[in-house]
Amino acid sequence: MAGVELLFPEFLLATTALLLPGTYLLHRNAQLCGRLAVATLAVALGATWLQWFGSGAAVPATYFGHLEINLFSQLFKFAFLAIALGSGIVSLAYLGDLPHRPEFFTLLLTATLGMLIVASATDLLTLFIGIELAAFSSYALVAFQKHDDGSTEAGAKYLLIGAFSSALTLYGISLLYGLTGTLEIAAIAANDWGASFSGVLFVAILFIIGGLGFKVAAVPFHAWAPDVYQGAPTPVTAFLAAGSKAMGFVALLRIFVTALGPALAEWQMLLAIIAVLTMTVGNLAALRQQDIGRMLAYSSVAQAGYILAAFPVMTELALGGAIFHILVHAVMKGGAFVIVAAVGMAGLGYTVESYRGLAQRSPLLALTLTVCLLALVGIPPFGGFFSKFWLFYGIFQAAMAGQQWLLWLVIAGVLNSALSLFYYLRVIRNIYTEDSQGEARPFGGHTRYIALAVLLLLTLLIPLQYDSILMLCREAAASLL
Amino acid sequence: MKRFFALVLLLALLPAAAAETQTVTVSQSGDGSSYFFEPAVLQVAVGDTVIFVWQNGSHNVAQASDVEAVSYESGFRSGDPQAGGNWTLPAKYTAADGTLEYLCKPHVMMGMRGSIIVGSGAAPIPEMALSFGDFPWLSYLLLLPLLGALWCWGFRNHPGAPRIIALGTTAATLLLSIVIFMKAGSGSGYRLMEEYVWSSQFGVSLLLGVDGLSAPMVLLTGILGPLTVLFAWEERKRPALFFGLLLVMQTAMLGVFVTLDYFVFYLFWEVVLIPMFFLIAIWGGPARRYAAYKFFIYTFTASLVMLVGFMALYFESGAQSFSMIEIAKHSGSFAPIFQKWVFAALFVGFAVKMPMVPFHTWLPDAHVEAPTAGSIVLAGIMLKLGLYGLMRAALAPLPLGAEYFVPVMVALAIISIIYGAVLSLAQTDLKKLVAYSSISHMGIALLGVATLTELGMAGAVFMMFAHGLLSPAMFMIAGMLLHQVGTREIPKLGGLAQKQPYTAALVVIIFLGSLGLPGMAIFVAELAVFIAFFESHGYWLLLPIFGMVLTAGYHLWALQRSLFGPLSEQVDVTKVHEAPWYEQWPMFTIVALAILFGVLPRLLMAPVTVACYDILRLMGVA
Amino acid sequence: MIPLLHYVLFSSALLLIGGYGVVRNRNAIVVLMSIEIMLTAANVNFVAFAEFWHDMAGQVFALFVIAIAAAEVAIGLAILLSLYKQRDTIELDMLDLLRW
Repeated sequence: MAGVELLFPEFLLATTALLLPGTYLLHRNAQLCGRLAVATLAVALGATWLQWFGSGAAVPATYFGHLEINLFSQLFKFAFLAIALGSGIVSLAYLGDLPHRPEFFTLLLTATLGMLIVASATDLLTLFIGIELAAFSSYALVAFQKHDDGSTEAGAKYLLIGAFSSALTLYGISLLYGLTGTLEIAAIAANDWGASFSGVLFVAILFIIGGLGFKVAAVPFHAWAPDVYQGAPTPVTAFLAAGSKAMGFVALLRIFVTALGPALAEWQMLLAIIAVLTMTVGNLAALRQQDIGRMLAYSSVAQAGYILAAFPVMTELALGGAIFHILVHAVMKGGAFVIVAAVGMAGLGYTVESYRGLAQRSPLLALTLTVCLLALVGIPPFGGFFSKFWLFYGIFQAAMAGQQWLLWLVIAGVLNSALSLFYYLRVIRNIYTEDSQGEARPFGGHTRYIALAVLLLLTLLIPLQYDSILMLCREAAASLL
Repeated sequence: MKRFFALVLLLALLPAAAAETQTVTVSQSGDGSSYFFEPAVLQVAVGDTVIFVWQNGSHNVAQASDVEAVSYESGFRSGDPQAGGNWTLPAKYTAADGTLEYLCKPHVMMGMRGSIIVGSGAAPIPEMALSFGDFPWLSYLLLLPLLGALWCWGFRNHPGAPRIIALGTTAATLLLSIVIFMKAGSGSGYRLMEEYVWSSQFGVSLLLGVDGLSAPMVLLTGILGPLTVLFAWEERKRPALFFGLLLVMQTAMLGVFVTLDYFVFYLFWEVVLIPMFFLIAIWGGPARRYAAYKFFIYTFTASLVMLVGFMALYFESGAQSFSMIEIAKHSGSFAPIFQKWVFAALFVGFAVKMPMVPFHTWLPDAHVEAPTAGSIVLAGIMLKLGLYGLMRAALAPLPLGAEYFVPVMVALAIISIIYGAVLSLAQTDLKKLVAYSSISHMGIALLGVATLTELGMAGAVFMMFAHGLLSPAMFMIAGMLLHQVGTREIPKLGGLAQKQPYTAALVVIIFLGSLGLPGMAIFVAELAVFIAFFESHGYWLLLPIFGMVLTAGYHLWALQRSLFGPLSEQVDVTKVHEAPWYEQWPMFTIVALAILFGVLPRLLMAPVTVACYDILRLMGVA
Repeated sequence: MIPLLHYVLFSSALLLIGGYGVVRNRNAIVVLMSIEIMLTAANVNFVAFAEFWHDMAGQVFALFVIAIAAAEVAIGLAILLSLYKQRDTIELDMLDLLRW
């Protein structure tokens, strides 16, 4: 089969995931297993990078009509692997000497594998299996600290709500199958929906939004996010906030933009309303939070709203901006949670108050967290500004080109950006203007490298190279349309 | 004061006396077969007034770019077609030599057009001269403070090193800015241009250039740099971060002044906020957190509105470029309603920064809580960003919008002048007094811009520069008092001149300069603005003049209470002494510069006038 | 030959029953069971539509869903068990450590 080497990262992850428990049985060295998993992720990441830039001729390649590796999937495969690598490195230190670490890393690998499958799935069956693989692994990851009340409770909540929502998605998919007689996304897209409003299709769309809206934490399916983000081990939170969310958007892009793109009229207004609701509710709720995990969770909800705003627009530019923002959001939110993990590990706690005087304890972590938060607001010159700007630029362009009601999305986005400043500034103020209290253990060395990488990404690489990154995202978006 | 008032009126009335009034009939023949302006070609002298009189039929009068144009473009416009009545071509449109083409929108196809030849009738439609530099002066100007900031950060464990690095860097920046000011000269168009393409798919580029409008601002930023550092010489709390932030801020502000691209302009505009937020939040007074918060949220929200305006300009122009030069070329195709909305959006962003009443409430808080160095930068440069942005980014592409908002701008400016002055009278804290007087002074500058005349706008820029010199000096005085006496409350002070005669002399000169003493820079600016305002709005001038009387009042009151009279017994005056060298020299420098530009205003007026004339030409009104 | 409509009605009824169970019950195990009923509803749909369209993909999907449901129960019971060990209860109302 041509281009089978493009599936190397998937095969590698699957093999290592299967071998890890055996390795542990043979060597009884949990740290070794963790390092092996991290090394695997690093190799897979490197392989994706090489395939992407090394062999342009082999892309795109399809496999039995179930998987297709193209620019879009390579882009997201790369992102998922990078996120998994980051949270894997942090987990090495974060987990300390908890029991069952080999299982943790096995689950991390399988979750990543699920995401990789979602990134390149071309039919609904493969897509669903990928989502479920990632979801089941993350249920267990969330509940991993099984002697910690919060972690177990978060796991149970995540499981019940997650299973419920995937049942909804599944029912939606079955209705869609009944309407079109096919599971292949390209074939569904070729279906002629006609001009009239179809009730059954709308019901199917409602079910699918209900299920995938849960994954991306869109209002009104967001209630789980703060609980789970607060309760889960923080590296897992970073993984969920950055990776699982991006996976949800990949699935949404595949289903709505590609498969149901021709039926735009059915869901355009619905998604626009959900987008505005999501950003507003997320920001308003974040204002009141004292726990930093919950605050970042609600900010995550709000960011999902910004990204969803590009869906009803359905232009290459807006979707390219949305993809750009999904990727940058993974960096910002992942980076923020990595630092939250480090501060928690140092015994400082998880409230907004525990960030008092962080600048004196560790200037680098303080600076990185500040940059991440300012980038989340969308203040230049940090990475978040560029992705958000071009996202709303795309919407604005569509609004000026004729669909004037879309201007409301831009206005809502602008107002929400201003609103979000309040709660981010609260943390930043604590970091720099308060004096530190109490003693803390030193921050882990791994965290420092990740913080530095995030900092460089947000302040140098993304701002300077946004043109070429956005060009890639636009090409990826074009392949969806 | 009386003599000053008389002088203003005399100067203002002189040109008005010579002007004549001309009439153009707007009409159609009784059977509707021909439509005409009578006379179709009118020859007027500079300063004449033209009145259009409607006789029968529905017509309008709107400026066109040339004799072939069939749609109106930027410039004057009588409004929707009207029947009967008359309309006066605003006097400012005949302020300089040129040929003004106009037409009647409904009947232009039937040949209803005319022209007014003003003076000798030179060609009115401008092509801005762009000259690319042979050496990347502006890039170095932007890079230098940034490198200095990094360098400071590198020496964060040496308490004495950052200030020396900062002083060296700002001194070098000052030299560069002087070179740039000289090279910019007083010719028309942009100089020393550089272009680095950043995004080819959207037309974003780091487009740098200076003209007579930005060069003085660059010079001002350069001058204030070392003075700020000197004044903060004894900063002990995290000096590396402090001086690093000051330097980052300098880069950002210089960036706003030298960039000619809307996207990059917005970028630098926002970057200014971040260091300022930290300067207030970390080194500020007791309520610093609240003040920093308020400052950041106010200005950020306003600038988001401005950003939406920029995006609208970009899309509407269809130029596929964020370059201000390119977008201004398309101003003719912007519909009046579009221009009004976008101008409103931009104006909100700029008015908060200026700040104009009612958007001003962040300013007193920020000033009172900011450390002295922060106040210097805030009052000296940041307040100027708003007005600079208005002139640079909003006027040229949106002439109709600007014209529509002239009454609003005039009203806000006058309210700010009087409100700022009245509140200054009521303040006992010297810093608050200066903060409110800043609102008042910036009101005068906005008034100058709102006249949309060469003289008024030049006066406004001159005011920005002069106020940018003198208000930092006032804040230096406040900072010095706080060091020595431990309070800034004016009622608690008294007789300080006995203890520090030389410093007191400096203080007196600075206060007098700030209230508008002839011979110092602010006087020139006020005079220019008032003359221009009198020409365009007549006796409304009395209102800002009233504000000036109040200004004189509170300045003299504060001066008298704090320096003279018996030695205060409410505070510990034993430690009062002459200001140390690092406080005295900055003040002395400022006094010297204020007098220099007050006596030789031409140094600054020459380039500024040309730049303002360029803007008016781009707007199609000159 | 049973008409397609009957299958759809049946599956809708199953879905509603399952959904009602999820919303009404406070016992985590029962909630998990209700979710299984909802998955079954989707399965009925898949098999019926596969027959209607003469397309095997739907039946394959149904097989996969059965496996997925089994995995879901396995992981769900494990998590609920560890919850039970800590709290001695699996009533959902007791999950109040983290605010909903």
